[in-house]
Amino acid sequence: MNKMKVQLQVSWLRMKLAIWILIAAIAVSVIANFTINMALGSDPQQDAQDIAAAVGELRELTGNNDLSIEVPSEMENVNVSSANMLLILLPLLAIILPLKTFRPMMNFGDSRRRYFAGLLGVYAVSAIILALVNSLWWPFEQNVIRTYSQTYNLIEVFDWEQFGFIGAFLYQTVFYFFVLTLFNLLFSGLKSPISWILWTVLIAAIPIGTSIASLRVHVADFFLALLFNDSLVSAIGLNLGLSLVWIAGAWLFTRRRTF
Amino acid sequence: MSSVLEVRQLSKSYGRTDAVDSLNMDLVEHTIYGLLGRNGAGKTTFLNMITGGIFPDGGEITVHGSPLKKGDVPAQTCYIREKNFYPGNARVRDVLQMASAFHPDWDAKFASKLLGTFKLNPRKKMRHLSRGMESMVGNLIGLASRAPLTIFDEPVLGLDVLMRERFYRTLIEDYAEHPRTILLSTHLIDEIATVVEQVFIMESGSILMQEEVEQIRERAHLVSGLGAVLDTFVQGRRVIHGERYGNAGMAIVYGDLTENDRKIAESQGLTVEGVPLQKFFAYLIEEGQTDE
Repeated sequence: MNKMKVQLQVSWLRMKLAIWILIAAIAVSVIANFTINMALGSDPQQDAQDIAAAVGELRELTGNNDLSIEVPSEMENVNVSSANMLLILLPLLAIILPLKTFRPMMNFGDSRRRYFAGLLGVYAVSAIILALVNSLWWPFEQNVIRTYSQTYNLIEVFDWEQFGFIGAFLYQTVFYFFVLTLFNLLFSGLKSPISWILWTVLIAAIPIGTSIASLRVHVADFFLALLFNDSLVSAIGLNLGLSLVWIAGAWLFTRRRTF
Repeated sequence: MSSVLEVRQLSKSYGRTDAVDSLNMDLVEHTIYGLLGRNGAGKTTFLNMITGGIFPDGGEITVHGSPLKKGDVPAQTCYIREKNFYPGNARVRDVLQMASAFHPDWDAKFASKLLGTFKLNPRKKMRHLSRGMESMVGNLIGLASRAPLTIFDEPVLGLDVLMRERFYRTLIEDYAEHPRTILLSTHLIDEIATVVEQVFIMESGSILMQEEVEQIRERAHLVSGLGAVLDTFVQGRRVIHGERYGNAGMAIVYGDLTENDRKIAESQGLTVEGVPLQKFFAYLIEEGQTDE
């Protein structure tokens, strides 16, 4: 057994409960959703066709071709994709691992440098696995799940399908890695006053950035570039670039972290 | 013998409290040392610093000839902490397997044998172990690691007398076959007296005394008799502790007593006896004397 395998095993032991609870919650949610839809005889595709037919008839009757029907959001029954629900693991991983694996690894005799490299390895593997699961789930969701339930998936929401299977997979991987490294930064130095400042800045940045009109544009531009980027290369560059900044910050905390 | 650990002017404070204060220590290869001190004496802080767990405020640490830089952990060192941090849902056998990855000299056969010696169930989860059994898992790792510098912090915590003896016996037997530097930190001097060659007695973050166990045995004396005679006899000697009962009294004296000294004492009606190590240790710390 090598040190990386030990870290994977320790990470798995620490995450096991959270992973099983999440999988169980997703399974219960899927089963409940399927049962309710079957019981009510709901067919989202048929509903969409019926609405489209009704709109057509109304347009004919009124002669108004601009007529449309807006379904109130509270009447829509749209569920988060099961594969997307797994993404709750992103913050969970990046909170639990730095908090719960540092001491066991140091206790075994690991160095901070190797531990940190290993942690990034765990994040990279997790980002790849989650991106792969969602990429493989997406066609299944479109062709099978949506016959009985309305869902939304990040791939669709952020229009990542435009880059094809590989492109969407890559976009997801780098974005998930970005999220993991950001949370890792926030939870790597909880004892450090610099970390508290960082938390304060982050918490303050959201309301300030969205309440001041001149800043709001930049905040929106940033999120557009991060999530809705039309250039895959630029999206990967931005996500990875920011991840590197978070990694550098987290390393500064980790290398001075005491047992 | 070459140096394994060199500590110079090591200091660490928490707020206004000096946990470790200008401490110096030298450990050479193939020796078993004892680090003795009361709870709160600074032993664990010191051990955490020399193993890279926490950072000193000042001073230098050199392990196996390499200076220990801030954030580094020393090579070829196995540190068994008083409180273990192994994952609670890991089985004993998994913990041993994981530990083996960090110690190049790990002896898997010996580890398996020790499972039997220490009556540890390899399938049991760590969280289901008693405090004593937890200590034994740590001790097993420390022994099987065969690390050139092995440090045990309170290794017999929670163990019954039988298991304590078994641990110390195994340690000595294995040390005889595979000599290395071992540092045992404890507050039970009597128990380690037969195991260790040298002791460091620590109090308030400083080393009060560094001595070979045999030397302490030979140099620590309990002198008792009439108070006035006793006072004259101990004058100019290092008195660790003294008590008076009416006209009579006793004194713990530390230093060499020649045959002539003993004869004089006897002729003056004084009794000279040895001092149990644990008692000597307690008196030494209580009096806060320094070894100069």
